[in-house]
Amino acid sequence: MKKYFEISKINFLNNIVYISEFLLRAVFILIILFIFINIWKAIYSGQNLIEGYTLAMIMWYMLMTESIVVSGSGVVKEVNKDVQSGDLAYQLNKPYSYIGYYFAKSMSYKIISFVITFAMGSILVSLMMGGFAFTFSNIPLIIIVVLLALVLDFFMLLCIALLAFWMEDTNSIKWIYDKLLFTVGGMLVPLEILPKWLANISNYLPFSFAVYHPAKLFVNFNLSNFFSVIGFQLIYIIVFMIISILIYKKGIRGVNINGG
Amino acid sequence: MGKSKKEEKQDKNSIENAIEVRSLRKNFISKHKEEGFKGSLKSIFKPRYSDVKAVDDISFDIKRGELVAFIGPNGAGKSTTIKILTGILYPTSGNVRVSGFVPWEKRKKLAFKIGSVFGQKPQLWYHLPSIDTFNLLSKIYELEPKKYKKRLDYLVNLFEIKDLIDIPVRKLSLGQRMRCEIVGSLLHEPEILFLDEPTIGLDIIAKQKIRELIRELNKKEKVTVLLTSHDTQDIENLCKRIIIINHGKMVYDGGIDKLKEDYLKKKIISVKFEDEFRGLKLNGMRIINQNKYSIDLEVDTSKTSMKKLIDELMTKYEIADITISNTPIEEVIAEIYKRR
Repeated sequence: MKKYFEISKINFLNNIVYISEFLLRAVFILIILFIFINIWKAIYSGQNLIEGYTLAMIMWYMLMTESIVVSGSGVVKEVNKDVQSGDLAYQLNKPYSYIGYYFAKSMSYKIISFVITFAMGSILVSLMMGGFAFTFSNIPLIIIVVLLALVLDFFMLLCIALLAFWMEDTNSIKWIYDKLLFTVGGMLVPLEILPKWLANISNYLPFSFAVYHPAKLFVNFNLSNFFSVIGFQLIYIIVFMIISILIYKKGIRGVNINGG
Repeated sequence: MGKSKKEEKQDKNSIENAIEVRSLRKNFISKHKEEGFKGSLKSIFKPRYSDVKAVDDISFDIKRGELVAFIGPNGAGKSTTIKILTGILYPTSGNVRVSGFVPWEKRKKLAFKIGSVFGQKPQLWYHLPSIDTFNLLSKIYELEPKKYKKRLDYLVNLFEIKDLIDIPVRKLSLGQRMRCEIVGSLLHEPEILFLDEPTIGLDIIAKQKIRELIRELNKKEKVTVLLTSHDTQDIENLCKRIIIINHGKMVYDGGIDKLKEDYLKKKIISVKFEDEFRGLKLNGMRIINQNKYSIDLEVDTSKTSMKKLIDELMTKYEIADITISNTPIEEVIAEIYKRR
C-alpha cells in the first residue's frame, strides 16, 4: 500500500510543475461561472425559489459540480498513450498493479485540481452572491462524499480508458461520458429541473452519484440522504472497480504492444 | 500439483540458467485495411485478418552472469521476445523460464528479479530530480531504507552521478540521463538486466562510459545482461556471445569471433608499393580502392589462401607496407540480415 502512496506523492510533486496549467484552467472555470451567475440571475428575476433552490444555492451547487467534473484525470489519455506508444512495456515490468498505479496517480491529480478550482471559485461566488449557501459544520461529511465522488469518477473513466486495449482511440467514448456528466449527471442543472421521468432515472444512475448528489448535499444537507448517497457511491465504486479489473485481465492477455 | 518430468528438469536447469527459452512462438493478428474510404467501410463489415509470425520457434539458454547481445534488424522479433521474457506479452506457444519463473504467470514476482532500460523510453520523471524517482523506486521495489541507502551510495559513486541526482531530469544531457536511468534500474539488485539500445543517441565518450559501466557491473555483480543494440561497437566491445534473429527465426547463436570466421571468410588488405601497381588477378579477390602506389583489396580466404596472396604480391612487387584487417562486424551482420 505504501508504494501507491509514494506514487501519489511523486505525482503531486510532478504536478506542481504544471501549477500554472491548473490555475489557468481555474480562471477559465471562473469565467464560465461568471456567465452562469448572470444567466441564472436573469432566470430567477422575480422568483425566490426554483425547484427548491435559491439563486445562491444554485451558484454554490454549480461551483461544486464544475470543480468535480473538471478535476478530470489524464487516465483515458494516458492509457491510450501507453498502448499506442508501447510505454505499457515499462509500466508492466514493475512490481505494482497497473490499476493501482493509475488510481494513485489520478487521485493526487484530481484532488489538487479540485481544491484549486473550488478555492478560486468560492472567492468569486461568495463575492458575487454576498455570502455562503452551506453550513460549515457539514464540511467534513461533504469532504467524504466528494472524495468518493472523485473515486467513482476515476473508476468509470478507468473502464473507458482500458478499452484502449482493443480500440485505437477511446477519446470518443470519453467525450460521450463527459456529456453524460453534464446532463444526467447534473453538472449543468440540478436533476430536479430535468423532465420528471428523466430526473427519476438519472437519480439512480452512477453519473449523478459522481456529480449531482454531492453538490446537492453541499447546498442542502440532510443526514439520511448523506448515508444513502454514500451507500450508492460505495456500491457503484465496487461495481466499476470489478468491471475495470475484468476488462484489464481480459485485455492484458491479448494486448499487442506497439513499437520498440 | 505434480510436475511433469520435463518441467522438473527445466526447474533444475534454471538454477544454472538465468534465461531458458524453448520453441517460443508468438503470432500477431493484424487487421488489413484497403486504401481510401471504400476500404475503410469494407474493413468494418468484412475485416480481413492475417497472422503474422513475430517469433517463430526460438530456443536458447543464457547462463547466469553471461553478457549476450540479442540483435536483429527492425521488425525481426527481438522486442517481442524481450517483452515475453519480461512478462509483458503472452506467447502463442512455447516454454520460458526467467530466473526460474514463467514470466507471464508471475509478472510481479519476476519484476523484483529483473531490471530493464529502454534507451528510447525514459522511466525517470521528467520534471523531477532523479533522486525523487530513485526514492519512489525504492518504495515500489519494497527496499529496506538502510539497504537502499547503501546501494544508492554505491551506484552513485560507480556511475559518478553524485552531482546530477539533484537536478531535474529535463536539464541533464542525454548521456547523464542514461547513467541515471541505468542506476534506476539497478537499485533493486536485479539478477538479470535487459538493456534495449542503452547507447542510442549518445556521443562517443558517453557511449564508451556506458559500455565500461555495463562491463564492470557484469563482472562485479555477476548480473546477467541481455543487450539489444543497433550499434555494432556496443556488441563487439561488450559481448562474447551473440544471438541474431531475423524474420522471427534464430539465425545465429555463438561467439562473435566465430561469427566472423563462419559468415565471412573475407579479409581486407591494404598494400603500399615502392613501384607502380600494375594489376593483380586472383580467385575470389576484389579491388576496393586503387591508386598508383597503393591498393585496398578484399579477398575470400576460402578461395585464395592468405599465403598465396602474399606470395603473389611479394614476387610481383616491392612492398612498402601492408595491413591486413578483418571485415568489420557491421558488414558481417548486414550480410546476415540480408539473407532470408
